[in-house]
Amino acid sequence: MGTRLIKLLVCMTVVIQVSAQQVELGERQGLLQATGSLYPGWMLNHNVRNNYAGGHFAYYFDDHYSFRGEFLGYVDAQTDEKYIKKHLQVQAGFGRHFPMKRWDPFIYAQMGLAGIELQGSTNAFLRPNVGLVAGVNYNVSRFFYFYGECEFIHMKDPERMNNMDQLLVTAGLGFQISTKRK
Amino acid sequence: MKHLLLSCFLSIAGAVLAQTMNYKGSQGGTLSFGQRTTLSAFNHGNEASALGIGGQFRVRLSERINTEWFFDYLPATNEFSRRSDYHIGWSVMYCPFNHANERFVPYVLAGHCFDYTKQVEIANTNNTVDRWSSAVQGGIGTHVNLTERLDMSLSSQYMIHLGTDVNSHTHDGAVEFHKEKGGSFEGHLLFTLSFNYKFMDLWARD
Repeated sequence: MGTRLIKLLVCMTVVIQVSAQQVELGERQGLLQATGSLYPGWMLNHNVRNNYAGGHFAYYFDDHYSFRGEFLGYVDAQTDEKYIKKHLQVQAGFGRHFPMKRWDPFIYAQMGLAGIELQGSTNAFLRPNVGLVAGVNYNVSRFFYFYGECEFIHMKDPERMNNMDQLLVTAGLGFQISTKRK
Repeated sequence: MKHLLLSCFLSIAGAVLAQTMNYKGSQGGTLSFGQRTTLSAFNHGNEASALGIGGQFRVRLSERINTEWFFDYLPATNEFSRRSDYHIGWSVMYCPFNHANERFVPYVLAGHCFDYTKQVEIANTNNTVDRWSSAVQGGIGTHVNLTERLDMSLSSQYMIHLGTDVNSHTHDGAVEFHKEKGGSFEGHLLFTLSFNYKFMDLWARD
């Protein structure tokens, strides 16, 4: 118990020391963000709507640029008609930010791999995909931010000569700490 | 333990990733890692374009000469077969203009590649064909320097396979794969978008 408390205090001390970020003034370099959310989606080549659960982390290596990793897991279709049986996806990419005090509009270009199995099939496939994300963050405090974003994902259909594009939206609360030293 | 690991990660992230590059003289020796996506436009009539994913690292030899070492995975679903291509190779990039610190740095590139191709009939996955071959590629591209450490590169290149050609046909409704020796100079046009992060100057000595 005592050792745990000491470790926690050490960690808190480090975090407080490095959290010198003035996010309310538009400083972003060194910021580390993470969040999880639900992603409703529309398939653009089929009349199907899907639900995904997922999240992302981002690291700002510059006030205007960041690296981001994202994962998504298929939950189910919102519609009676289903097209996907299983779908897990990871993407990584770089983003451009346009910080204005607490506001932070951004765009990301991402690429990744998806493990996917379609309805009526017993075959699972690994398929590359690319994504384009546009959204905005609002920094509530040094440790929290609200965000909303829209993501276009392009992927080839593994079973047919067709595209399997989707449009996903999500919003929520994110957590952040600054790794920038005083 | 978790707290200590978190502290270490924060320290490393803050100390390394957000620092500026300190070049010793020229930019020769710059080591960068990147991710890439490739759109492959195949020549054959019944083959669809492929969207690929891959990774690469670059070692810059001098101010104007850079090398790129890459791996790509390019799957495509055709009318009656699925094709997967795996490329592993390298290219030399030469910047004809001395614009190393400019926003846009155009370059020409040429290189070699080993590739593995496998085709599978969709209706009967036991009906397959595969081959190993080598290839040469050449093209043009440009770096777009976004920050001192991050660049986006866009290139277009033509890749010619020098080994056995594999192709598929239907005869009386049955899918048949053929291997044709002799090298048909089968090729494809590749468009590659990559993001690269410069980690260190290998030539730097203190």
